Amino acid sequence: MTATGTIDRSPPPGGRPRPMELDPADRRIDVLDDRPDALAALAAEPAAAAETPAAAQPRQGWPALGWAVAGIAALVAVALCFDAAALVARAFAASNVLGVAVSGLLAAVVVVVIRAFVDELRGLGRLRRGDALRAEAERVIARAGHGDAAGVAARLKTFLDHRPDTAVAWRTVDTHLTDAHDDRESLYLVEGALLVPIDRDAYGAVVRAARDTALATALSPSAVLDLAIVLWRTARMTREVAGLYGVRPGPVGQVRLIRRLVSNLAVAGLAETAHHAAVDALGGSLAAAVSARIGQGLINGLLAARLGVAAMHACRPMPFGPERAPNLLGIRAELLRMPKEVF
Amino acid sequence: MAVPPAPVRPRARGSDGAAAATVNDAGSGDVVPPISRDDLRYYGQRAAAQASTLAARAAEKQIRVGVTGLQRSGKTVFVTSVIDNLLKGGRLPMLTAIAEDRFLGAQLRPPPAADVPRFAYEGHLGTLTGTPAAWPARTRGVNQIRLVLKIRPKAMMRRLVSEARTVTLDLVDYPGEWLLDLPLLDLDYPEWSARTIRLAAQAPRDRLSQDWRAWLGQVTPDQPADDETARQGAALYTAYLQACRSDDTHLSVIQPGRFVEPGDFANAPLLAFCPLAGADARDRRGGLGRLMADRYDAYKASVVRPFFIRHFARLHRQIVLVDLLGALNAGAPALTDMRAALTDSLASFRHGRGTWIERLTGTRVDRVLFAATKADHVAATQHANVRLTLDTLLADARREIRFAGAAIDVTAVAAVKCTRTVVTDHDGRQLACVEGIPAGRTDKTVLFTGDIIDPSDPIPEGIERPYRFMNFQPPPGLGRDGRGLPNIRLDQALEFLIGDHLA
Repeated sequence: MTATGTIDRSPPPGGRPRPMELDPADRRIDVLDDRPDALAALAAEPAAAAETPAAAQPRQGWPALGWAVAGIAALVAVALCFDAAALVARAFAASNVLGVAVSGLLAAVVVVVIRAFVDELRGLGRLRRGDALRAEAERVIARAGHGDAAGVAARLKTFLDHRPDTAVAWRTVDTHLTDAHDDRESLYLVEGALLVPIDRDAYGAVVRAARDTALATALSPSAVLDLAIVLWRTARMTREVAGLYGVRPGPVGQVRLIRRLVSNLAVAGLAETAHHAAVDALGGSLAAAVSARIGQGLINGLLAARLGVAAMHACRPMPFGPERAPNLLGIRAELLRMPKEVF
Repeated sequence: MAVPPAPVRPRARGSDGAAAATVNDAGSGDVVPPISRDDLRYYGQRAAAQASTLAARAAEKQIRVGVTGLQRSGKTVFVTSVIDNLLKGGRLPMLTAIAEDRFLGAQLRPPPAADVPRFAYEGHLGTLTGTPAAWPARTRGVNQIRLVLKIRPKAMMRRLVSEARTVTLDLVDYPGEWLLDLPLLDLDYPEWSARTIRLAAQAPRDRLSQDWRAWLGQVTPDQPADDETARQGAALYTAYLQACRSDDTHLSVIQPGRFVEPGDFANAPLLAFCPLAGADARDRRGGLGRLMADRYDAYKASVVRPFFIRHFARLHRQIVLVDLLGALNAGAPALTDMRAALTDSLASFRHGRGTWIERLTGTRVDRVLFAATKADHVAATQHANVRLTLDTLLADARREIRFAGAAIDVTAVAAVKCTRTVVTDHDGRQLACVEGIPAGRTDKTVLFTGDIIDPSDPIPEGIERPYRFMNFQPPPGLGRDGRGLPNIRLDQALEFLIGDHLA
């Protein structure tokens, strides 16, 4: 580092404070906890940050077509309402008992639809909150300052409230954290106690899915069945991984998640993808030479594994710490070992 | 004013290599220097030591970690805290093996070498945790202690039966002054003399070395050798070195180390020499210059080399503790001197240089950690800047070492954390301060130490005494919770030093 003036050498506003001894009775604030300003700023910032991309996304489609679809949907909804009203009226005309039964059924259907709709919205909200939290954690870690980790940790705590076993982990974090840890170190400790156990479960789920997919495609008699198996198993795995991290997407959320996974396969922290793709292809072709079916199974299994790892990256509310990201090597070793075990 | 680095040249030979010296002076570095009997013995011993280390390593995983640092850098407390924390395992959350719950425990074992003093861990810990709590007395010379760590290997995690593995960890603690002696192996007497005299004439050393330099003016290398004169010079030179080391000057380049840390060599004729102006490799026999040069070579042969063979060359990892805050307290000259000393000491970790024999038996220190100690004397918000300041001090030398293949890292640690970081409101602004009991007092105080604003220029001109770091007492009731001594970043230091062996 040469002194080329990139560093601000000017003293801080108000002059450089002189070293001094202070009266211990002075009002003092502990660094780690009570910094309300910083916390408030943190809580406000990410919401705005999260809004921008979410709001920008739908605008990228065709607005005209969107309006058309929305209009048709509204028309259908109105028609359905008329139909339902007519149906109830006809049922009452036939018999009062039938009328009550039909209207009860209708009410139940309406409630269920509304429930599903709310759940879907809530799932999407959680997905978005996870993204915001991850972005926030990334920023705090990169800055490695002091006093911001508490806010991220508090948000992570509410995010992970679906897991019953986190109290012990939080206590571990609490015993280990001292005022000397900066935000990066604090969040590393938090991540190690809270998220690494979940990572282990999620990795297990991914390995299982990869194995199932590989085995099923190796044994299935037709290509159509292959496709169905891969789609079904991948969807289940994604739901499982997302659920472990506290993201519970409904069908729409899941479609959105899978779409993101597929588009993220090449990026999303999978820097190794290109390299592994080459290696996998080589290994796959070798296996294919031995048996086309087994080769296909392996390739499908690896695809599922890669989707699973991408799902972990996409659902985890914090970025993976150094050396903590899951790797595909282990899964591949497992899959390559499988033919020996099966046949 | 930086001290010029040691000129790079082939190793100097023993006292009977005068003829070859002319060959070298002509600048033909490619010529393989003739090997003296001294050298042969040296290489033989090194090869034997290396072989025994290798054999021991093959039988069992063994890591030898060197802990060094100049006086008052906190070696003793550091080693005590490392042992205590490894034994109890409760305050090292960022040591991966502990975080992954693979660390099964540690135990002390009898040290391997019967003739090297054992590090008095129990005594030092007793002093730290006693009432009243006090800092342990300083240790002298080399101390060694052996720990056995039990680890569940990572690769075995998913097997049904995971077999525990033991790793032997030897901690070797030696004075940093001895590390600064190692560059002497590459210097012959005239070179060293010229260098030392040049250094002594620079501020603030010129003031401290006045008496000795006055004496230098009265003697010449050609005058008849006389033990009394040599002793006189050595005494004056030693007084100068001691003055350099005192608290308020806090200078780091102290050569030769045994002058201030004599160990078993107090009053030995070996130490009765000092640099001479105008010394030349062709000084005539019987002259004072020749006498001094002979003693210098004897010093290298019977002090520096044995240390190198027996201890330094067998280390695998090294941590160098640096009292950076002390130097910052003392001012710009101390900092400049520290940079020179660090650069000098780094030269010893440069491997793959020299003759083929040297390469064959070369050192294996593949990770070096420089740690600014006593990080708890500044507020936590300043740790990053303390680390960056040390990093800047090491910048030049560091590039070279990394090129040579050893991994280097820099950190700020506190072996025993005696303060708390608090934020105070002072005149309407928030200052990050430390709170603790200063040395020699009984009540807590809150201290604003001064912030490092620009790590590349920590002592800007025009600001008088920008820092005020104080020494603190160990807090009462240390270690009572049985989790190990409270520390700052000891886990990360250990992770860098031995983490890969615990995988």
